[in-house]
Amino acid sequence: MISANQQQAHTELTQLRERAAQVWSEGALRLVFERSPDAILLLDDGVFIDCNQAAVDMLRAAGRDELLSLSPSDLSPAIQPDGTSSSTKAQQMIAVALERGSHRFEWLARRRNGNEFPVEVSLTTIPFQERQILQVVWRDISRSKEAERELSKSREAEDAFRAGQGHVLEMIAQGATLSDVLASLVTLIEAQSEGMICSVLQLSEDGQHIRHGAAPRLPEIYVQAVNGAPIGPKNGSCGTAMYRGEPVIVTDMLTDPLWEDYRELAKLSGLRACWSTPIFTGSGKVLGSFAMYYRQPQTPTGSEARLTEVATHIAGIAIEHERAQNELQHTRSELAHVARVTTMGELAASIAHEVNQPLGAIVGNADICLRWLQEEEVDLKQIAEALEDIANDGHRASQIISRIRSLVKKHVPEKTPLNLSDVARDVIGLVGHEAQRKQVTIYSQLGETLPSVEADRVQLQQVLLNLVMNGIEAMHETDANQRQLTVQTAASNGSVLATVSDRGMGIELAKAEQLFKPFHTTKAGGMGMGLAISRSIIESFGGKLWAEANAGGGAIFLFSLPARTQELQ
Amino acid sequence: MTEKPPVVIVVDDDDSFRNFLSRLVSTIGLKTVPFNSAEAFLAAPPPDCPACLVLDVQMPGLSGLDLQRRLAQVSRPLPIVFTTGHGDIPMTVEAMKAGAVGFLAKPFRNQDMIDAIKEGIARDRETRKQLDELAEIQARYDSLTSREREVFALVTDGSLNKQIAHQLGTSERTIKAHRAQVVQKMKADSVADLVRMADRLKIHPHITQKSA
Repeated sequence: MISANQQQAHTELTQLRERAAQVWSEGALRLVFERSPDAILLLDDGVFIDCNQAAVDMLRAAGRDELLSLSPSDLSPAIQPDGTSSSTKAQQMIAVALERGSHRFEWLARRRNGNEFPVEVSLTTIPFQERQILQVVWRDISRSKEAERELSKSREAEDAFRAGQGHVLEMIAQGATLSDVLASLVTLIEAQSEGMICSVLQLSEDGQHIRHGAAPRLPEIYVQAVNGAPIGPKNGSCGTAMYRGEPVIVTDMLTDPLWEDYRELAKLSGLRACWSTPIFTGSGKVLGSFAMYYRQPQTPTGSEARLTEVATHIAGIAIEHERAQNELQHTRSELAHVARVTTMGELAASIAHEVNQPLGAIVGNADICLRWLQEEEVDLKQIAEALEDIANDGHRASQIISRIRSLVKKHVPEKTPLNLSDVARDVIGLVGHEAQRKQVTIYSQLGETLPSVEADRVQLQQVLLNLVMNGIEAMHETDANQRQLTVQTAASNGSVLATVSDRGMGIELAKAEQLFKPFHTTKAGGMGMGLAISRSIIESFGGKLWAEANAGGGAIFLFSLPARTQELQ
Repeated sequence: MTEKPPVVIVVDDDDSFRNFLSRLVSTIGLKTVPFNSAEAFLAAPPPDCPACLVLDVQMPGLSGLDLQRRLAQVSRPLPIVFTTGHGDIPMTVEAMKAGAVGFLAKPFRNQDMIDAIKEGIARDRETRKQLDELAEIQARYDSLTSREREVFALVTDGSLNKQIAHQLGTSERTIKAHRAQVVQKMKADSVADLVRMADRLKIHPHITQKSA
């Protein structure tokens, strides 16, 4: 039994069908085709037999007749974007449609004016009298293609930007100079926005002055003028930003009050807008500033915010990294200095002896001269000889002192070409007396024609001195007539090798690495830094320091340094 | 016989200090014999005149203290004045205990060095005198017959003629005759003198030197 509602629905449906049948019978179907906003053509056996107005408009044809007089190949370029020939691809697409009943695909079409444009094609089969007619619907997808392209470009740009940031961070990690890093950063940021010129400035250690960071596209004369300028409440964009610890936006440098005292400087820049943001440490201390410049007076739109954030973030990392490295270097230097002074302390007895020789002769000879001058008959020739001896001894004493002084004073390392044999000779000279004192005989086998190495003289002396003193110390318990210390230098495979061998207590090779750790010492009052510092010095010049056992008993310490490449050729 | 003029032997590896010491020594009218190492000094013949050594304790090879030990073993150890560029107390004490004349740290007052040298030379003079005397006494002893030597030993030991006669199995008269010979040959002024000579020669009744 059907309900009243069901009866009602059935009646409505029948009425709808009757209305539709009526519409179709009056030729409305034709109008559906005619008036469709999509371009529709009918393809029968390779020929367009009909098309609608939308197709005519889309293809910019003069009229339906013109369009129908054309063959399908006139409406497409010879080759499709994927490289296939249009006619081949058309056959393929039609074949698929005939098989499946319909097919949708992208196509490059061509208007009558030659203009090529992308379309989405739908083919639908319409059976008619034992053959299949194809309904071809074309939709112009230029705009969405355009949008796709835009999106792709934008993604590429974003990837490039990210990669660029990664590259700058990599530069920091690899120890590139700060100015190189900041210049790369500035160039990267500038590439993200047309017409923008950027700069990174640093705040001086005393917090009062601007120091140049990087500004590859600002005029040199402007850059020089800014460098060293004071920061303050009315000091341009960057100076004020660093002073306030807040971003400063100047739309036009030539009229803004913040640039009032720096109008000439502003003119030097050749630019008008200058927006500056401070760069902070993690704890909120100002390190510098990042600025965007434009040729025209301009206010920010807000889209720059992200670029500014990235720029200040990375610049901050770079500057802080540089400061940390400098401090590390400074501390290492101080430590090495302390170690040298300590070694000199250990050599105090020897130094005293060496200096007292000439001093003793000076004092004695002078006293003799005084006596002679008090005699009746004065032999001036003899006095002159004595005075000459005094003068020579005076020089000798002063040389001993200056040799020691060069090791004891604070020293900023600098790389110069050095001959390792000469450095070895310096050190053997320094410890000569100490070795004697401990009854150690030093044997030297120093290469005559060594290639030079690139290193700091004082630091290399320090390393050799450390190894030689250790060797002497190691033979403390050895028989007095067995105390031999050998120092050798030789070229080896593109490096120069220095060796210090002793006949002391020896080392357990398995535990050799321990020796190089800080605070390792066998001496009662020792600091235990000598070998650790020596190794870090050698490594800082690209070399290696290590220990081996001495076949005849005792230990061998060796270090190698790369030979200067010019000389290897 | 006039005494040979004394010399100062300077052993120091530092050339300029050695030259200065030579100059200093010449101001007191003495000659210097310089060496630049202990080994070089040992290779040379000992001086045939009163001498004093001025020696640096810290030289390469044989040190000054080692040399002192070596020299102590000879019959005429030369007096040593030590110098040092950097001495410590144990070193000084060791050197002085071993009989050094002085220990001076460089730079020192010239007068101190001169005084030490003079004392050293005086000591050496005395030593040489003692050695000469001993040689003389030894020569005299060497001229004694073996019998006379026996008598010499027993007389200086305090035995009476009678006892000696008994011990040696001869008469007292014979002993008296031997005794007179001994006194004459030894050129002794008195028995006490003879006894002193016996001491110097280390003669003892049971330790008579065999005749040559």
